[in-house]
Amino acid sequence: MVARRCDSPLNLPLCDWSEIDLKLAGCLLLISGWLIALVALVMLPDFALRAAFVISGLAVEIIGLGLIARGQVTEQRQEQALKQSISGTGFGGYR
Amino acid sequence: MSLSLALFAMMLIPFAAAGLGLIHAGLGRSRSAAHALLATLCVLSVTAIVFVLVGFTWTGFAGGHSYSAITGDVNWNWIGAGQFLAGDVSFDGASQQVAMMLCFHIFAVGLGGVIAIGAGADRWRLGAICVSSAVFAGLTYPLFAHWVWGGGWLAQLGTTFGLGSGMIDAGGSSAIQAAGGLTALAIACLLGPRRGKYGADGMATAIPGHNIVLVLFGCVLALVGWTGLNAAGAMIFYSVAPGRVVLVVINTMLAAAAAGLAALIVTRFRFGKPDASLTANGWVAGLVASSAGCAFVTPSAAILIGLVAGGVVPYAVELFELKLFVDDPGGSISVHAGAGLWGTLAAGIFAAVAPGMRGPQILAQLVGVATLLGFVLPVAYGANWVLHKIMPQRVDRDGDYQGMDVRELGAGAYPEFVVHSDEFVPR
Repeated sequence: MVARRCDSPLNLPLCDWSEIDLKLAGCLLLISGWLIALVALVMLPDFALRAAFVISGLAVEIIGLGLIARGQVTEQRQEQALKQSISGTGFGGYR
Repeated sequence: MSLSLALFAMMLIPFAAAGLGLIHAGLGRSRSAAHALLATLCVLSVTAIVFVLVGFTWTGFAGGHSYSAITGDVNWNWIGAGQFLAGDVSFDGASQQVAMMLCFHIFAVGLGGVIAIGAGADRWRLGAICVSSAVFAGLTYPLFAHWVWGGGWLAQLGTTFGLGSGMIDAGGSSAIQAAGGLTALAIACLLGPRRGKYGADGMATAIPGHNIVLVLFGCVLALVGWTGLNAAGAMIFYSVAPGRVVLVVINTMLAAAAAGLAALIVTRFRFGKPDASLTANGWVAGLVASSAGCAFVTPSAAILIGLVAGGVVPYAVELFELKLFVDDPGGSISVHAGAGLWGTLAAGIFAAVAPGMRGPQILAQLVGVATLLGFVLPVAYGANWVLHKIMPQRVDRDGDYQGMDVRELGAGAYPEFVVHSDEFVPR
């Protein structure tokens, strides 16, 4: 069965959640990384510790960006496969 | 602050928006050229009105009313609490500085809103552009601008946590450029690529810009606008003396020059010949990166900032287009988000600071970068995702073939000169 896009409530039971999960997880990691940086400022009095945790927060954000990128690539590849299976022609990725 | 000099500098800012408009139009297809420029006008109009209606309420100004959250003994100044319709700004000379800030923000938010048009070129509907830019002017920009320029918690990192002078950003590398660039990233991901951009095998098809002359002229126009933007921001928000404004102008020019040359050299060695469109992207990346530290760094540092921005942009454009399947015709993501984040960080690395404050200043800038990625990007993506569900932002399938000019405006930009062979391909 070809995976469907989760773009309509009717598609929800059959849609492929993988790319949405990745993007959602990525967004949550972005927010988490920011919160780590904020909390580090409040809770850690030492400059070195603060710096370490702010940089750790940024690292978490970079992982989040990576997940979003992975979700984007997965989504586009699925669209590509879908278009190929329908028409066998070029892929445009339109919605 | 010299009122006349700051006012003159501010009046140059629309040239930056005009330059970006020309760049976006030139890098897009000829069948969407009029649409791109009309969208620029619409964004400038919508953002100006929305910002005055509600945006300035949240943006506020240092010393003005605001809402704070208190944790322990730390006062987090989160959001402005001004009156709607800029009701607390008087124009009789009593609060001259606040009126100047309002004027600056009106131009700046328009410039930030225009950025996303480059990422959505050739497929982003005009109505959706207006609504999305209204969200940018009413939500995303005001919040971050308050934090950096309105006496918010990022600006106060120095006093509350001892992080140098707090986050510094004279000309808007973060608040305008990175915020606009991250919005552009959200838009490009939501819209998907232009039809025909990727072949059946996943290979990217080159869709060259239709008028590189417009693009290169836009770069020069953008330089004029950026000198005004950086000078006005430095004078209004950081009380830079008029005599020091010349340093701002020199740094802006040097960063753009170094970035343009770096991009030209990189493309010369990668592709055998200099690439005009990527060089133009590099030039603008230099302008973007110069903004944050323009009043605080030496000319040699400005050159270095520009070299890094311009040297990285061609690779970033390739990464987004070839590896991540993000179709960004104007290069807005690499140029504005990428160089904006670099410029924000570079201000901490190269700005003149008190002895022993280098590390804390860099940390303050890093917190700003973390905020852009962890707050601005999710908010921009989430808000535009909701808009996309309510009102599809992408043009329909036929619009991809016809071009946005005919589809949305009813007439092409060059009705007597251009015939697109693929307009007559059976659908």
